[in-house]
Amino acid sequence: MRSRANVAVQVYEVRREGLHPREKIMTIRIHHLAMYLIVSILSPLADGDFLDLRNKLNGQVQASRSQAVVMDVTGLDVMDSFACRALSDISRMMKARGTETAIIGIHPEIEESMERFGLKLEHATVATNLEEGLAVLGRRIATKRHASKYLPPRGQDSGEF
Amino acid sequence: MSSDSDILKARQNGREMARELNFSSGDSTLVATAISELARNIMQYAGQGEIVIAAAEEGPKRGIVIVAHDDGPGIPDISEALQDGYSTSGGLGLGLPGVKRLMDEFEIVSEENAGTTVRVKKWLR
Repeated sequence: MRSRANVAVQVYEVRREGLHPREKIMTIRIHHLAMYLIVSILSPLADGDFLDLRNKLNGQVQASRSQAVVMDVTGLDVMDSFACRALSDISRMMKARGTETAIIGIHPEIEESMERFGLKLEHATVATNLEEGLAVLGRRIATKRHASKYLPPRGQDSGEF
Repeated sequence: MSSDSDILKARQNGREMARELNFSSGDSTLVATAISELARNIMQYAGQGEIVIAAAEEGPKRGIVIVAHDDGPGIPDISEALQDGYSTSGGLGLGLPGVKRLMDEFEIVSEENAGTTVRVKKWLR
């Protein structure tokens, strides 16, 4: 971290009427840290929350020109087919604009349920913790930079008119 | 249930019930995931319906039973719906094969234009 000015934190909270304390407030924290966007899902999400998150991230990545996103899913209570598809969709969207995604914080019990269910996160790298997530993304970004140095500029290698 | 936060409530009630019935935390997560999936199918295909969660007993076995019922359009081809990857709405499928793998027992009754009932059970290990 070069300076404090590089770090911005946004917290989104939505209050809900619910029976249990942990479902009353939906919390997502988004940190802008240099070239990374760190998205922490700190509570269970309803389906609509995933869609809101997708729209929010779309705008944020565009505005901040982040090169990589870490999604910490520690707060999720389950990973069902909807959650899995929503996270995969977000990662695919990021990839389409050249932004890599790492997903961290999958609880071992949730990992087991995904295996049984037959669910797989796509378009993202799954890492065990923030450190590993950042390391994987850092390597990806470095490889991409290296590759783009040696590739001919777009449109000049096709031989088409 | 009739909204997406009802899906959340249903699975959290289910997890709490599973914990009360002495299921491990891991198995309670499997139960909560199955409920979430069944509840979403109701929302997506029927718009509304109900989920009943109760203690189950069969001889010496103790466990939990979940009944998901709706009066929606029904599933025209159940055996097709139980195959991985099948979906009429173009998504990942109904998730029914996944639910079947999460639970110990799985029963489905569906009639076109009359509704669908899915009954699943998990036994204490």
